Amino acid sequence: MGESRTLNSNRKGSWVEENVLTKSNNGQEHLGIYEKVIQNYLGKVVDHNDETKNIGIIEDAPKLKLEFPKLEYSYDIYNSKKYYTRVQNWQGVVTSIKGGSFKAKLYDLSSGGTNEVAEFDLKEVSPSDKHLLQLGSLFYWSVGSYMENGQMINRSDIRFQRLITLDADDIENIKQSVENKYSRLKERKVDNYSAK
Amino acid sequence: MNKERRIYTINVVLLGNFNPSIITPFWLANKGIIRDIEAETAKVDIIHPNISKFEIPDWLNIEATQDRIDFKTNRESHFSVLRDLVVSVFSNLGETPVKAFGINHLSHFSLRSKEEYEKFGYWLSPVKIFEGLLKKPRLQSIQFLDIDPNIQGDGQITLTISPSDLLLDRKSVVFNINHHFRDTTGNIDVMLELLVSKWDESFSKVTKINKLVWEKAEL
Repeated sequence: MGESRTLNSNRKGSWVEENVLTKSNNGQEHLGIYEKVIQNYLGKVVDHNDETKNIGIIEDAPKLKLEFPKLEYSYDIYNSKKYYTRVQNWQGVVTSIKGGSFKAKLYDLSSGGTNEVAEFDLKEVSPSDKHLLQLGSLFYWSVGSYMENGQMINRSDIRFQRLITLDADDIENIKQSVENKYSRLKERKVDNYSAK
Repeated sequence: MNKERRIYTINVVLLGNFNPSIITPFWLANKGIIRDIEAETAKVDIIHPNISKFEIPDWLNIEATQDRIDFKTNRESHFSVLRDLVVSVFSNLGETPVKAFGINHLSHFSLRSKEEYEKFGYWLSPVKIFEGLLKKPRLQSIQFLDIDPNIQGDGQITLTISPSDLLLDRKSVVFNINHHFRDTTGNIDVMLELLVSKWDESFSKVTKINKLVWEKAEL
């Protein structure tokens, strides 16, 4: 029994270490951070960038007479009395807008298959999404059941895509890239004509 | 045996270096990532340099610390919306170093009876061998990690099976499949590209794993 009892990676067999990404946080892990924040409100000064530099209690620090928010460690959206089930999803592209409705080509995200065409009443679009409704706009449409406190409710939702992938630098880079490519194309065209 | 999933929720977790106080409902609305009304009705638990935690009613919960951001939705209808949101947030935070991300797929299934539920537990782990050592041995959860080095480009899979915390009928289980990816460069653009390109594949993989478990299960 002279050998070390420490298991190296070759000797772990079927055992593996914990993976932090698999943890679904329930808030308990952040109690330390909450405590620091509370201490700040109560007059203790904490350097958030360096835990070793905790300055301690300042007697004459102004005491904030605020009611500290109630911290809950559970998610309301993740609740055993409220959940969604039997959901069917489509992604749609707006193909025409006429009168009080719009038409769209739909792709079934839940089970695939061929494209479908549907017409929607404009009243079904959230007022916050109306400015996103135009020809070619992408949106998600879903129908499903929602359980709330023991009552199953059928729901239909339309949500227009809000995908922001470009910042000012990206747009500048694209402009520059198009400019470079376009310049070269023009030069080649002139060369071809002169060669004929 | 084919079993129909009753509830499906996901959360997307990113690991890196973040500034939680930026991630607020009004910042998201100001950037056009969420609806204005959603920012106005958001339930904010805390916004602080060390932690930001709030809920957009009905579909989204965000919890950001300096090294981890967790985007969670309970709405199967909003999975694509969640992906767009994550991409939009980090497209606006272009210099943020992100070293890993994971998609947690939580699929809830119900067994036909309490007996079948118990049989499934015994099939997963021979807890009966502890009888005599423990008075009433029961399985709380079981976790499997796929450590095949050849699948790194496709991400790593961890499967955890435990009793359902949403279906409280004492005969339901949840399969939590974590599909995670790492990148040593920490480049956010690389990670976002990976997230978008592997998104659909991740869902197909989860469906396949869930199906295979139920096919193999001896109930």
